[in-house]
Amino acid sequence: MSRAAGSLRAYIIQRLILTVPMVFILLTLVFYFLRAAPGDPVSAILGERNPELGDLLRQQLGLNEPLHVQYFDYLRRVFTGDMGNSIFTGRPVAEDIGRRLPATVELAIASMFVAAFVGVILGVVSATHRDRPADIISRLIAAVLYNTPIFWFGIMMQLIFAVRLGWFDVGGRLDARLSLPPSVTGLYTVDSLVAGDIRVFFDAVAHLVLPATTLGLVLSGFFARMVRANMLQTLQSDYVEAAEARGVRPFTVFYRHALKNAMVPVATTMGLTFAILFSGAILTESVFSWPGMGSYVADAIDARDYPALQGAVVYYAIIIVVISVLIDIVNAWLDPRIRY
Amino acid sequence: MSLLEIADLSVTYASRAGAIRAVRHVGLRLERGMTLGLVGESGCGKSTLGKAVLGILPRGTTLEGSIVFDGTDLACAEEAVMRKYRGRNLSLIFQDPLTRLDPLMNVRDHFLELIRAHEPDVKEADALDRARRVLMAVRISPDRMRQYPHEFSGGMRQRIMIALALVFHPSVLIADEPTTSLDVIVEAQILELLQSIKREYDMGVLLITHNLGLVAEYADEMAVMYAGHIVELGRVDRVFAEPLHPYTKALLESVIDLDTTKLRSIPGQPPDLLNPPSGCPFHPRCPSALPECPAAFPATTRPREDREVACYLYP
Amino acid sequence: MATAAISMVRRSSLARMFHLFWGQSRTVAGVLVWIGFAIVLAFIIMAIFAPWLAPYDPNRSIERFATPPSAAHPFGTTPLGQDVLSRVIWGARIPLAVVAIASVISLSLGAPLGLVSGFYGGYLDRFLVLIMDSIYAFPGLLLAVVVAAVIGQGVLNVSLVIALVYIPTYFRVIRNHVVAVKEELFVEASDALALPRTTVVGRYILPSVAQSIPVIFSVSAADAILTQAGLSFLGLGLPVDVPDWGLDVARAVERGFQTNWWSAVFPGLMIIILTTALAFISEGLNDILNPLLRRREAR
Repeated sequence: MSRAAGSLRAYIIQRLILTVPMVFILLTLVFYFLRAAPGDPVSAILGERNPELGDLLRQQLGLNEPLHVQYFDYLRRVFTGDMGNSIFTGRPVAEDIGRRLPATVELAIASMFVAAFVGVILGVVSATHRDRPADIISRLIAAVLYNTPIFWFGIMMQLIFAVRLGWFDVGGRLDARLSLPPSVTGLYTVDSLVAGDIRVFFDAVAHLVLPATTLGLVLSGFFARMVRANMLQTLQSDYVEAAEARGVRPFTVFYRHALKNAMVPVATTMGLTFAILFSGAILTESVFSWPGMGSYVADAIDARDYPALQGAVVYYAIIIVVISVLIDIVNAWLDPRIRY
Repeated sequence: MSLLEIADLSVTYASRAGAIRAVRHVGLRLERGMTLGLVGESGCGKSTLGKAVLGILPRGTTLEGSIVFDGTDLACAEEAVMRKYRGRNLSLIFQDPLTRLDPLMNVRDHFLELIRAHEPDVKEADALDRARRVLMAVRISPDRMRQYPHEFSGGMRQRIMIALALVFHPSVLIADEPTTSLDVIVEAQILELLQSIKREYDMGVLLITHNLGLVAEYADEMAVMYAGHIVELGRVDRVFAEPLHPYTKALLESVIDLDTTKLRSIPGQPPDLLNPPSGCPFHPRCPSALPECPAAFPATTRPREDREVACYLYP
Repeated sequence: MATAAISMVRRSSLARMFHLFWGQSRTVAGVLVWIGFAIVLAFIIMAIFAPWLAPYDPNRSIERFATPPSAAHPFGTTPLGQDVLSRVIWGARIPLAVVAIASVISLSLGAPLGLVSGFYGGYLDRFLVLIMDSIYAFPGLLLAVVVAAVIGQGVLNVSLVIALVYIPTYFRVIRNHVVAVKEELFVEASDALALPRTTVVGRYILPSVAQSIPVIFSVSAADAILTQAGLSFLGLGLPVDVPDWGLDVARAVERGFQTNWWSAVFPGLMIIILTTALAFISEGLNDILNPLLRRREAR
């Protein structure tokens, strides 16, 4: 590496320091939107019916305190991990999130497999048949996939594969009659394999198929575009021409040289997308009744469960800041031209 | 019979702006043990000629004429046939060594890929052995085979490219501006290397360059190219002693040496290959232009022994 | 070197841009843009002339429950007996209106901020980038859902929510473009010629930056429509029963879409067609305006 290692380290430190204001800004925005914005959460829940209960609830939620007191209290509690109790479930929000998280992770992993697999195939077909029918068709497929509303696509999948063909269940993670595997990672697929319960394993996989395919196919359209664009560039590179001049077969040139090099930036984006999936796919999880973070947010909104909503959003904010910092650092490591 | 015989070769690119006639009616002959220098300004079609011989021009390019090698006309050969020749009997070294190696593959992988491409059943140990031998010939330590391209300097990467080009002892080596992006000392080393290898393997070398000094030092014969045409062809010492074509004269006059007191350049602009001047494309800038020059490109004549010129001054 | 800089200056005029675009009409990319344009235009016309185009009143219950597609109702009826075709035609209004309003807001806030931030740099730039990056990092739908949950329903509210999601996009692209253009040779050259700053911005930076706006717009518009549909699906969009594609899908699901798939399928198809058309426009424009993807020209 010709770059001084010191400047990269300096950049990393600088970037990490910046996460602090970023987190504060996000937390403040969350606070503002959920507390200070017009609309009293309590009357949203109770209506005007029961003023004493309303006052009690407001007292409990600390809504009567001056705004800045609420703000600092909120910050303090975020840093101790206490997000209050969910109005809907009665349990601590932090606990709810802990239970929901593995479901989202499992869906994220499965979706990424589908998205990467289909996306790369579509992108490669496009790039290697540029402007010919195969390219046009692949691009069309990718465009339609990417621009399909996820909730509608999910519903169609349910309609065709669950209702009409009966191959899968309409939703959920596991057949209600089966018992959960002992929790190791929280991922039913992994846990059931660890426990040696093949029946549960297959059932868990079967329940993953529809939601993962839905989410994965929509994402694959986006990846296909990226792969195509990057591969078109690498196909024009000097080292590809030089390999051609040495008599290397086109197949080898495409895959070993052009695609491999093209995938470097794509891999970064895939990593980013995967991390974003951690925040939960609200629509997919709602449609398939998948008990993860996404449906948690949707349910919280429906039930006007503000502590839950706030907790979920704080969780997202932190994850997102962490992810974006990591991405920036990886990008800087790979491309010395990007500096602040 | 000549090692490589190019006759009446024309190469036309299809671009969004129109047809670019990069090579026009070129005739050249390359013999074993000979270095033919091909000189001309940037953008005159020299590189295109090199790529045409190897058949690696982009899709949509038209080739007319013939390129005869080993009894086969490469200009109309099947792709499968061409692939067998490329890298094995005919090799091409490119200008910019910094970007010509796959950054994700180490040197060892580059060699394995090349050798397996032509001999799929070769044993890895044998292949690596051959790789080591050719690396030593270009004076790169075989211990560095597991290193990646970015760990080598420009000059070393060019030597690796040369090594890759020589693994199969090709009969023809086309060197397209092999030292343009390297410093003078490395340049001398590389060209000396090419000379000794040429002798050892009895190859014919087509040295494409815009540097007349290299041609004077290392080439036996030279061809001068302008706007896709060959305007003069002959033995290097004779051409330097008595340049016939006005363009050749102007080129030689513009070369700077210790006695130069005044810079001489060729007036006018290099020709636009999309829309070249009619007839002899040099006529707008030619100090000796005649009335018949814009009409049609002059026929090639032999006003001296072992010399070809295309100019109305030598009918 | 100097000739290259000067020809870049000439090339940066808008006239050249249109000339380039016209010349590309017959390429694959050009055709794509025209097709996309035509489809989007068709949707806009459909939305404007809905009262005349729709066979029935979209809110009136004509039948008593959902009926499958028939001669009288080519797209069938909803569980409430409304004609799906009419609802689908009227349903174009809300998404188009919301996206139009949101885009105007995003552009008018994001672009100038990006210009200023990129051009002046310094602490202002760092501050704005920090804020915008924070918002940008949030997944669009999530941000929209959270803000919409608080602000409430209504066309204007939804437009504001969606505008918020895309302001950082406009900001980012424009700012990065300005920063890149600032470093271009021809700006340095014009500095050497001592041209006043406003001329530099007006004549060179703006046209170059303006080229990227149609692409940003078509990309974010497609995404905005999907986001708006998602909001409606989750019940965060508009008061009940204003015809809206996302809402209609949600309604269909509520009543058990197994028995009335048609009231979910057709609104969804509309979304797909419109957003894909916008994608055609953005991809086509990108191909035309982005020289990196051009095939290697002869050397």
